[in-house]
Amino acid sequence: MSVLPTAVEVSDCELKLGISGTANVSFHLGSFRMDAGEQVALTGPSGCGKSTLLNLVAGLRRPDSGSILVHGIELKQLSSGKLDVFRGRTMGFVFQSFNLLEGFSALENVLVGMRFGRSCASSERRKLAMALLERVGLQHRLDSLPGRMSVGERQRVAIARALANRPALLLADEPTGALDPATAKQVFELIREVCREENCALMLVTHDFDLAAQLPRQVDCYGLIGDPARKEPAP
Amino acid sequence: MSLWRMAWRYLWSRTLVTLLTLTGIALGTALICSVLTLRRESEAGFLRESGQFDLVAGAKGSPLQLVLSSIYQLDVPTGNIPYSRYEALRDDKRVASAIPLGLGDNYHGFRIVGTEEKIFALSDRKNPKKLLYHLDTGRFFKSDFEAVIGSQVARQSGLKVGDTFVGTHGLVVTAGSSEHPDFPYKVVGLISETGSSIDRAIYVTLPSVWRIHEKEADVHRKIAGIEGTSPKRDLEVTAVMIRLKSVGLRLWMAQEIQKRTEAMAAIPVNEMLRLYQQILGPMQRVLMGVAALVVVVSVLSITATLYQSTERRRRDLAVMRALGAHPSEIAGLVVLEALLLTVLGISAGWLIGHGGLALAGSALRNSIGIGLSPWTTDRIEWIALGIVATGGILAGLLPAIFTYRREPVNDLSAI
Repeated sequence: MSVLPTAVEVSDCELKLGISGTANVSFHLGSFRMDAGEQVALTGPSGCGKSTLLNLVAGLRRPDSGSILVHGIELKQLSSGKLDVFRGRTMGFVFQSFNLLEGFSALENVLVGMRFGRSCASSERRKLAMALLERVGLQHRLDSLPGRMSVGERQRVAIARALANRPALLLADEPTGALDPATAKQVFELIREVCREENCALMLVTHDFDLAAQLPRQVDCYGLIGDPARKEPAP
Repeated sequence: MSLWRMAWRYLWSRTLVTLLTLTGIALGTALICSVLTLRRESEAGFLRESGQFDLVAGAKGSPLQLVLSSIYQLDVPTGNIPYSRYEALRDDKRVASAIPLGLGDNYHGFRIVGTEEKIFALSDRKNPKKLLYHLDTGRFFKSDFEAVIGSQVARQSGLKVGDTFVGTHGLVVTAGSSEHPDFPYKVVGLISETGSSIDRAIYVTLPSVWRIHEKEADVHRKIAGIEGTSPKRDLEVTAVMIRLKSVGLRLWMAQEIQKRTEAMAAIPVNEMLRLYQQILGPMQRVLMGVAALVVVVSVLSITATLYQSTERRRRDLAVMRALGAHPSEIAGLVVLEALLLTVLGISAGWLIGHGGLALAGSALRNSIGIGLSPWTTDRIEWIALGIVATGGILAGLLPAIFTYRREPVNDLSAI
């Protein structure tokens, strides 16, 4: 029996969030594993720590203890600079609020992603970026600024940018949260489809249980993450 | 997409602020460039002219006034000295050449300078093969009431060879000044442009000046009711410009002339250096101080602008970090913006400063007779521009450091 390569493996992580009154507030994550190309929906109520989990997996936050492996690499062993490079090459992000660079066109947004992801030679970037935007149906909007695009189009640009460096892991936080139901459905299907095509693991955070139900695996963060408001007496 | 292109794009995403910051840097730089160029060119011009003669002898008074009135056609003369004094100086064995000058009249504000024909044979001291006076058209004067005019005189008055004109009493145009209609001058020659005070002078023979003023004295006696013609006065000159056989004799000769009661001698180069050090120097330092202040304010505005802009772009910069940008790349982006602002500002300032001088060049030549080379940038100016550039780039470092240290996770609205 062959063992699938691991996309994400989290073991017994603890993140101290600060002191509230006389008690330490900390975030505790037990054991969590995702296979390469696997699509997982993280659900749970607001404030249960879904975003913090994504931050930890992305290496934007470092745990105080425990271990996080992405694609077999232990994140805490990477220096800050190496972690940035690793993140750019290995992971893609889709944000709820798109987080596009407003002064840059759709094509330039994707090119910026490629520039920092360093995944291909600069001479090939433009061609690849145009192909990606075509893939998400925006071949006619290459030079449009985000402010002049519909929310659905903006999220498509964000998806193209997230996939620009052919990541092994796509982290999506409420990617359809700001979209109307019809557009949300299209965007959700697009994310799933491109992840499947690229064999890219998908970690999707959503409040929408119907949407989550469409993914092969659902993880209730309330069960995965210890009570984020858990307090211990301050030393 | 390169960091340069991104920096450029961010710069122009806030057009007004960028333009205002650029204007500040450009104006400061323009002021620095123009003050330094003016200082260099005027100093070189003044010293070049003053270096043509070792001494100027004239009536007792201010040495600077004597130098300005005789060499630069600028100030009022200190008075007259006997012609015999000129003759004594001319015949002195230490003197290589002595040129007498007789002033008193003007034509449309241009001074009529009575002198001797040998002035036209003077060579340039820096380039002995070159004559100071070159004829553009016509010839030099040979007899009384023939005039040779400078290029600016010709340009502004419209006089040309063959024209006649009459002088007006005094060295400047004043209301009610009397003309000398009985003694018209005829233009016989036009001197090529020199970029010096020669351009603003009208050269005639000394006896022409004497004859006009003898007649003037007779008229004044008649008006005053005094019978007969005026008694024969000793002939006078206003100044004598002297070249010595040895420059080392300057001080000795000046002191010797000083001892004579009726004359004094000034060393032109010394007087001009003193003028620079005591009067023009402090003024230039004040101007440079103002320019430096403008640059400092502009550089601080770069810091403020970039700091404010990075604060406004916190989300963008955090997204870039999330996309894999190293903190040093983000900080580099901010520094590049400062660099672009500074380089653009300095370039625009250099163009404004030197272009302004090029436009004002003819006006300066007309007013003080100094020709400028407005597009030349010397070492001191390059150093000054380098200091401005360094200041501008350093100004970008502070916001860059803040950006470098910022944790992106705090600036991402959600992930």
